[in-house]
Amino acid sequence: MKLKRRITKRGRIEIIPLIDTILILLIFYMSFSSFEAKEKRIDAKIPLISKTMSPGTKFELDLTLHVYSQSNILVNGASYDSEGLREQMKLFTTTPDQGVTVVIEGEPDTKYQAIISALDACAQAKLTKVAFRPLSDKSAAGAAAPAAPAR
Amino acid sequence: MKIKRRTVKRGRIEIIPLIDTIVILLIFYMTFSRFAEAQREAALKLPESRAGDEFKKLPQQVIVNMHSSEHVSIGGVKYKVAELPNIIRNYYANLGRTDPLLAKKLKDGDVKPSIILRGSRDMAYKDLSDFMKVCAKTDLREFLPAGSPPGVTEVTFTADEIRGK
Repeated sequence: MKLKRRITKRGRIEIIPLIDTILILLIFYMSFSSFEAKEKRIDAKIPLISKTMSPGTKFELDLTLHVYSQSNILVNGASYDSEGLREQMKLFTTTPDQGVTVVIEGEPDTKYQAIISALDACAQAKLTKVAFRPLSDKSAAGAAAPAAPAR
Repeated sequence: MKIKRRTVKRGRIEIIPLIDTIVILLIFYMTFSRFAEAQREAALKLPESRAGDEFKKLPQQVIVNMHSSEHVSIGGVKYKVAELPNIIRNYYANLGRTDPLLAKKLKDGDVKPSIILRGSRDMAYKDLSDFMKVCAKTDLREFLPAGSPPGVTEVTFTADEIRGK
């Protein structure tokens, strides 16, 4: 009797399911890669806003940050970049008094990124009482703004 | 003659197309639920920061996407910053109809009106200053407890997390 030879199936890669899988993985990574940068929130209470409307109003224990740019933020007459400012702001949190109110002000053309960097430095130093001094109508209209001091 | 019995094919669920479909639906809903969640404008380039908590929108918060004083959008509709007081007032006025419980909490002072500002990193301080003046101008006292200060006093700034270091 002739024995039938057993046919051995050769393993092979199925192309169509492979393409399906690759396509789905591609869509998945394309969709979610854009969300990799996490959005964060920095809370600021602005109860002083009506008082800060008038330029020159002083508060107790206030600390004014005048932001010209990300690399030129003026505090107590000294200029810092955003990294240096963070270290400087930490000095205020080491003092026993936590009642420091930080007032942030800027030039009409100061970039919003620079303002957020200053706010970020305050948040990292755990200084949470932050107020903004809006521009007076005169400077907002483009009147001669003080020149940025050299660093 | 022997009659061949008709074979009835039993219906069965095809597993592989089912998995394909489920995965695609999953990706679809995961992707779009994020946009629906918070009326956030994906095209806006936010500034970057290290500090901050996880982004979370509270029910009483209005999200304002701001490119400049001339281009502000809320819920996909474009406005000018000068129009914001009316828009914000209408939002809180409509709460009585859409969410009476939240409106009551506002009136009792349990929650405060608040704005989430999603500003473009390229806008200027002048634009931010205009926005703050508008916040101060928006009179919401009729929706708040007696003796409340006028204006929106709480603003949450958002930024993208700086990666690395």
